Amino acid sequence: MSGTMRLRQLFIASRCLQHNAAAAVAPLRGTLHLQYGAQHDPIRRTAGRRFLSAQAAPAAAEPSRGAPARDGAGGGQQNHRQRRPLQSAFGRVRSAEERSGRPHYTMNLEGALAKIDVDVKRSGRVAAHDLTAVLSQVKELAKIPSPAALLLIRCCGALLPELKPTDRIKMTDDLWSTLEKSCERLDISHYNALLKVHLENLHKFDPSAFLIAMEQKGLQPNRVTYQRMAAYYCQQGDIEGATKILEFMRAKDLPINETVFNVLIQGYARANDLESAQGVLEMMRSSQVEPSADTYCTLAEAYAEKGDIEKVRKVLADAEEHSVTLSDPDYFEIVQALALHGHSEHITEILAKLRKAPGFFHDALNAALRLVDAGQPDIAYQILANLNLPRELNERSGFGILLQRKLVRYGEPIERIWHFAMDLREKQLNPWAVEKTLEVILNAGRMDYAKEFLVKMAHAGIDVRPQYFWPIVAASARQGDVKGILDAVATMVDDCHVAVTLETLTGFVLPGLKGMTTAQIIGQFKTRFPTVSIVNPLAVFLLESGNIKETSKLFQEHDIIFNPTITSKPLALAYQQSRDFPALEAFLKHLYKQHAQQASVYDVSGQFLLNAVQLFRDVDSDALVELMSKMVGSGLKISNAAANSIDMRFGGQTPPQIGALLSRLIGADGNMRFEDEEFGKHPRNMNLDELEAHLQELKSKNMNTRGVLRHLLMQHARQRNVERAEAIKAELDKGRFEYSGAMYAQLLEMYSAVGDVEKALAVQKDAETVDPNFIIDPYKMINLAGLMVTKGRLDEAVAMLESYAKKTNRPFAFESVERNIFRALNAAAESGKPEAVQRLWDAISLLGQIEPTSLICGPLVRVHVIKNDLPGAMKAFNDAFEKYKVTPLKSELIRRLIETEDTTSLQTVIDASIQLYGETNSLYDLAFAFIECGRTKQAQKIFETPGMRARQDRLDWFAERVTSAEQLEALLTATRDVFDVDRDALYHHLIRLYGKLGDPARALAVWTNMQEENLPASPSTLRSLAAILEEHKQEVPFAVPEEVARQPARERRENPQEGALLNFIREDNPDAALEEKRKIDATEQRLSVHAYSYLIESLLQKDRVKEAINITREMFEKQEHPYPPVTSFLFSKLSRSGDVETVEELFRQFPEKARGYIMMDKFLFSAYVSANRSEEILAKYEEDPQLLIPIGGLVYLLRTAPNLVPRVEQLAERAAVSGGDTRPAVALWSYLFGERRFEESRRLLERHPQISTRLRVSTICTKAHEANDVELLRNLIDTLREHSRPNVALAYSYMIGLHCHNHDYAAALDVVKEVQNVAGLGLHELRLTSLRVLEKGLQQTGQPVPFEIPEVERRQQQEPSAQQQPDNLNEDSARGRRPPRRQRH
Amino acid sequence: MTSRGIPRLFVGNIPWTIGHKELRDYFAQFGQIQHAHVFYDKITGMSRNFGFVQFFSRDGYVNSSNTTDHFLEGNKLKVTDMLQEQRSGNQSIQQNGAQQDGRSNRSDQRRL
Repeated sequence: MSGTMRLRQLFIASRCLQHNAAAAVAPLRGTLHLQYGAQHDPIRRTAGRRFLSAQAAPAAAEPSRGAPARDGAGGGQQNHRQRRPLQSAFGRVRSAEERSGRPHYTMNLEGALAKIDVDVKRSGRVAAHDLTAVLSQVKELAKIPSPAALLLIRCCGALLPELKPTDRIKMTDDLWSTLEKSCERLDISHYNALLKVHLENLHKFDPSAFLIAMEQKGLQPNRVTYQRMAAYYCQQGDIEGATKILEFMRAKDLPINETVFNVLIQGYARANDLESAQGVLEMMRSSQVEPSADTYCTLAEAYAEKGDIEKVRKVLADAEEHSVTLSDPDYFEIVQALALHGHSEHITEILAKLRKAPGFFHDALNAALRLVDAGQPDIAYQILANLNLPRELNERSGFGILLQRKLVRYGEPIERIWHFAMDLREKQLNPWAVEKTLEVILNAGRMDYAKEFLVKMAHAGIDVRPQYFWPIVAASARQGDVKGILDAVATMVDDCHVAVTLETLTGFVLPGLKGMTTAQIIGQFKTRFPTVSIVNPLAVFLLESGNIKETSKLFQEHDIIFNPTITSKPLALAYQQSRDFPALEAFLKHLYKQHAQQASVYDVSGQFLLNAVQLFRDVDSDALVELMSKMVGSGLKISNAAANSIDMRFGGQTPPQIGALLSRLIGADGNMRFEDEEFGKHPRNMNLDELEAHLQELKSKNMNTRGVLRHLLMQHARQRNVERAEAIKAELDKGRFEYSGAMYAQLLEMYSAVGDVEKALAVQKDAETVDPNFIIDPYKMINLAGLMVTKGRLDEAVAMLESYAKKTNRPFAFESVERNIFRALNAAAESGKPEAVQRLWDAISLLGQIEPTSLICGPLVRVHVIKNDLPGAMKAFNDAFEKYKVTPLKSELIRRLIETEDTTSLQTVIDASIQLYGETNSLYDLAFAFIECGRTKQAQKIFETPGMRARQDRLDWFAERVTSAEQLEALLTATRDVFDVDRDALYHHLIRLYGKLGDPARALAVWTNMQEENLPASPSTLRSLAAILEEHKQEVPFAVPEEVARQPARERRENPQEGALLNFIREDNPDAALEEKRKIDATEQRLSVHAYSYLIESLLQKDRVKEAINITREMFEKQEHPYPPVTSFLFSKLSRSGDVETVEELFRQFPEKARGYIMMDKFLFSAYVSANRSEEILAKYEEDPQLLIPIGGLVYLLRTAPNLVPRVEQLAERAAVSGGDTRPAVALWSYLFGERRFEESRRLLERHPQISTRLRVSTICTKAHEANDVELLRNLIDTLREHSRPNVALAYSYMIGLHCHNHDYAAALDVVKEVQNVAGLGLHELRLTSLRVLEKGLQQTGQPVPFEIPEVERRQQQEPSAQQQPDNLNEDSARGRRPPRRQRH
Repeated sequence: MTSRGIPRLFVGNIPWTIGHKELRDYFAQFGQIQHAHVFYDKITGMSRNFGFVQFFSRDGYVNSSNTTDHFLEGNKLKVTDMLQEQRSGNQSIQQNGAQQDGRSNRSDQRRL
């Protein structure tokens, strides 16, 4: 075993490397740190942990046994690391099935690639059909982008379990030669991926040729390349070869990590030296590398190949002893090894060990597919049949079909395929399994199977439909196989007793019998299928090809009654094509005669003409006129009834010269147009620069500048430009300007913000002197108080607040001042004196009711933490939790408790958190805290909690805030085996962090690590990396993907200044945000829609509408618009203030393409109403019946101007008569009902019964809520119960909300019960907000919550919302986003 | 084309097993059908998985539109109103009256 000796030496050397050569391999330091960091943290796993599992697949070692076609069963498994979440594990499968089951008609390449990418991430699998479709498109292209090429290469390996490995090898070669010609740039990551695919497909290639090819392209192999080369030799059992590679690596100072050890285990095993394989574990330990799940898995596979179950058991026990958990795919690998080498008797034992962790469904599916390669279809099926499936049968139609497809591909006996299909059907695992399997068979072109299958279906009493035979007929037709066609018909008629329908014959059978004459066809059918009527279908077929003459002939030869119901339309079509009037005339006359003989009253000509009118009237009325005049000329007659019908086809407006001038009725435009109108600029609409310019202008003209100065002062004060503000104030002072209280208040805010207590207090006094009744906003006072506290003037601050409270003498609603209160209290907490915090708390409480959120209570705990008094902090935490159901300063507390290892207290905090924020959120908080404390192993344990789903949003949240690369690397390590994590996103964070730290070498090393993990870097990640390298003037070793116009969400935060802007918005400081915007505007950069939207929203919340409008206009100029909710917010503010002009102006400017998002009519309408111009707007609608009146607006109008009811009644009448537009009536009903004029509303409903399905109740509901009128809602429910389910649900939702509003939770709960039990509605039909309010109310009053809030759609969560303020305390990000309560299957 | 102002329904994601007859049978539960058609690929003989349904009366159209989920032999059908597709976005939002009630605008949300 000289190889072993050499290796041992090698490892001793490589251990030295870590000490001596570390500096020499600076670019790889990150890697080294991860891999040899064992001394510091023995559980850290190497980045390449997953690498080996593929090669570990056993097949190739034993060429002597098993069919060679099947030995490619290996590979595949490692891809489970790259999978992403499934909305519904099942939904995916189904759609994958459907997709691949039919031809693609319109699919562009980009879309197809994106779909493949999603499939790979979600299911670890690509549909072969999708891939071949893309490949054929790719061949046509002149240039293929690098990332697309990388994706395609990866797909040719284990991601394609549907295909046999031999087919995959062919596909890989084909693809690679295409790419060599047309890929934009093949870099090292492509070659490494190709190597990986070769390994997965057990492809025997020439490694030195591979290296030479690379070098010819000027590419240097990297660590990953060598590792995979070594893996290749080990896969072949060639330890010598592997050793050479390792020596090479050593010579190049490349680190040797766990991946390599794992590979060696396989190498020894394949070389039949299991002792050495086992010995590698020792080698690893002595090199300070901890064996990982992969290591144990590889070893277990080695023994499994030999059928040594005892040893397998021992290896698994050994892993458990070292608290290494094998994943489900690991176990499946072992199963695979057993199956391939004929030891299937042990499989059940291994299957029993499966953990069934998240993602198991697809693991099992992929494993089952690979077991088919291993020649074990029965075991594959058993695995599937034992899976947990969605309860909904409708979601199961794809289940098991991938397996069936593979069996069909392998040409498994039809009996087996049939048996599985029937079993799936009978066990209700997939009620449509038989039909779906048939689809797979047909798509695979196995018509022999299909026929057998159909006969079996018919015998089993399963509904066999004519269209099931069409693909069989069509296939024969394509090959010109007449006998095949007739045989298919025979199967249909004789074996399955299915009617040969007209469409079967005209659509598929007859087109396929091209070579035969009509006589031959009729002859064939007469003898073989006497029961099938062929002449009429033949006639239809001939007519459809425009041949009236031939049809006529056919008809005369065979004396069969022609069925005009099926031939009239083809006859019209035939005439349209041929314009052969003589033939038509003869035909019609013949038909007429025949029918007359039969004493039939059927109007042959009339029926024909009716169809002809239908065909001609819109496209060629002249031809219609011509046809009809010819018909008149030839004496053909149509019935009265037919004439009437034709008249009706023209909508009662038959033109004088029949068939002409019709299209005039169509196409009236219902859109409103506004006249253009210049919006005059008033100083209050100007921004700072405009104001300053205006000031200069006025000064130069020696005009009155006071107004402008006043605006300027306010604006500068808002933007904290102290100097300029003071200068302007001095100017105003000179002119004995009379300040208002508000102006002083603005100055006060400015001074507080810049920390000038004295001046702030001075202007406060000024404000009082100038207007004793003026009351400064409470938040300004609280800010000032907070400032005073930081300056050590607590007593004064408290006294100030107390006197302020006395003066105001009314409680404020502290809705939007949470942060101000928090800052003030936090300032007090800095002192470390709990009584100081308490005093300030009490003083603020005098102003109004403090809403005790986690944020606001934070200082209560923090004051103890600052003194390092953890017991005190815990007590404060518990008090706050008991009293207010909040978890103040949770993260900080958790960190402290971890550091002091106070598990009891830690448990208390986590329990409290779980109660409020759910288990997943709380565990994530805990895991992050562990990472921050450097305890990766614990964090990993938490992330791997069985049954817990990954939360990418939380991971991103953490990764974005982390400033230490070590912590981010720890996060990557800890989440390595977690299903569902977007690892590219995390790596992207790491790359950007290295960028920020100015370390391009490490950033580049991250890319290599990604290759090792077989994870493709996304275009945005590559762009970031390229930007960092370019910044440091380093070569970029890959093609930089072009920026796509539509930016992924993750990238919008890339602009650091924009990040600052968003931060200011979060801190509720729009002025600073505006300042930040000005800075960005000064550069070339553009503000994203995201930032714009938040900025506008934040201004609107402060009622700074004018500024919001200006910014919105700015967006419109760029043909952009704010997010729809923000736009609606803006318009609702404007319309409520009755600002008709601005609303109209903005609507005109609103980008055309996005108008659909906003209900403009509604806002315009309510603007008019608010402006007291109701009659005006109503008149507009009265004048133009084409306009669609907004219902909500109309109700609002009626409420403000009840005198207009008669006019609306008239409108309703008119609309009902003319166009059936129900809006006015619906609105009137809503109004009447809301006013409790039930009798009138009932009568209205009787008058206009058509509105009953279109009633809208939201206006009534809001009215009931405002009036606190539960009874109105009750009435509403009773009235509508029969009519409209959503409306009833809405009314119930409001009822729940109203009860909660009144703190009557018991009544609210009764409503919930009523909804479920009496009304028969599901909770998901209710408004979830109402349920949440109820849930919160119950929790706060300490009652149990006896219902589960249904899952919310993601879309709704992502809308920007004022309530959701991202925050550096974890609690807030959890609030409002419930942990998913999805049912896992 | 619409018949007497009744919008034609586009039906997508139809299972391959469904022909004209089965499509008609399914939608007949909502009202009398004037026309139901599934498209087939003439070359392969396989369903193209979409089709059209035309009701005789407005009732049938309204009934089927009021049903949110159409499941047929394991697939969730994608049913779209051809009329709405043609109209401008603005109007089609208002057409969706009933659904819109279920959604709330932001001021409503705060009041609850």
